[in-house]
Amino acid sequence: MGNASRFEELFLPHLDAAYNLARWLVSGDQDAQDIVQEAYVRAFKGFPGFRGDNPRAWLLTIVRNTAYTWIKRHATDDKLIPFDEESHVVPVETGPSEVSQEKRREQLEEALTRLPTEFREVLVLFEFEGWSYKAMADALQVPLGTIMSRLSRARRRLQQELAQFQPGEIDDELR
Amino acid sequence: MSCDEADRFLDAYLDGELEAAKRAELEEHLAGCAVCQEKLRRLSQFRSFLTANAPHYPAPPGLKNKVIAKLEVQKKSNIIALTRQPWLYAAALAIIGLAVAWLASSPNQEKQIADQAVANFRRAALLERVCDVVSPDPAVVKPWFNGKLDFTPPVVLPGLNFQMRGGRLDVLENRKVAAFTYKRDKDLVTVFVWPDAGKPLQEKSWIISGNSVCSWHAKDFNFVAVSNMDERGLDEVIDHLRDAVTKEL
Repeated sequence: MGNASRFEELFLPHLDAAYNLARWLVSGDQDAQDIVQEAYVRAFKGFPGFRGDNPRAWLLTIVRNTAYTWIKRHATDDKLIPFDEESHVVPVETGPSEVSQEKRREQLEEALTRLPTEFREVLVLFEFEGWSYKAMADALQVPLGTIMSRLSRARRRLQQELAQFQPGEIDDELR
Repeated sequence: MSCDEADRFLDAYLDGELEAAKRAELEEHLAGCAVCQEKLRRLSQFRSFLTANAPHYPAPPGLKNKVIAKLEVQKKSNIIALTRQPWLYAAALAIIGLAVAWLASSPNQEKQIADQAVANFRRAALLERVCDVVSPDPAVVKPWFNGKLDFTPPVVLPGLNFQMRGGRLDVLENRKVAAFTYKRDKDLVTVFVWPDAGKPLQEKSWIISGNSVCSWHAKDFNFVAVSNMDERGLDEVIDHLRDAVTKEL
């Protein structure tokens, strides 16, 4: 089946990106692996209709949709409930600190898990996948303005979460 | 632009996603507002921190093989998946039904005719009455059939060093048909021709009683050829006859 090997040729190279996105969205290794496998199967089924020139973006959109289906199916928390549109960052005054790089990474990872999925999603797609606002708006099927405000709020909310670590644990540059 | 408004656009500005007009407005505001400049600086620092430290999770070693295994299963179940689409399933059943009907009827039709053609071929040889009109020239053979048949048969030469021996009347399927005989050394070919009358023959071939037999259809005529050659030899002759018939009609 030539179609099948063509599929693997086009999509297997993006396995890392697919897993990374899934892992950001559901924050559990096993769940992320399940989502990636399901997404590849979905992509394979939809492959005859694939006409685009960007298999990576197409695959990631499917990963993203698969993750959301998974989240809804396993919804036990309120991470998908509309978040506070008006939340503002409370300026946190902290002194300089000697927090290790390792520690900062741990805190960041921890803070990320507290964000709503929609926030993590735009962060990972923009910062790591390099998607434009337009590409995200298309994939997420929301207006461009929503992407703009969502990304902005995601960063501020993340700053806020980081600020909740005890004063002194936050590096000066994060204030 | 107010500070509140500027605040909303800082991220897009840093991201290089702010449209030109808004960008100009924002830059104008920033030029005169130290508070917003400071916000922009912090935001920029935070972004650097984020991109430098945010986790990136590479796919675990076993995942690739798991995905490939899932895809293998998928490939195999593609055919089975047909059965989950009710109307596709129905269509597949209908096609199978047609195929069964076709297998049940038409091969018999062609096979019966082929059997008769072989019998005629052998009888003519035994009776040494292969030709009613003996001539290598189609222009002689063709008019001989005038008034003897209710159709005008195409009379053609296959080439390949075959010579026409002549033609005769014969009977297949309870109707009069034209038969032509060609010879090349020991190779003999007899071709039976008659109008299809709405029942065109499928292209098929058999070995019957040591003779190669082939049926086909062209330009409203049915053809059955019988030969003492092997199948490949007959196929070659038939290819040439088909071409000749297409040109003639």
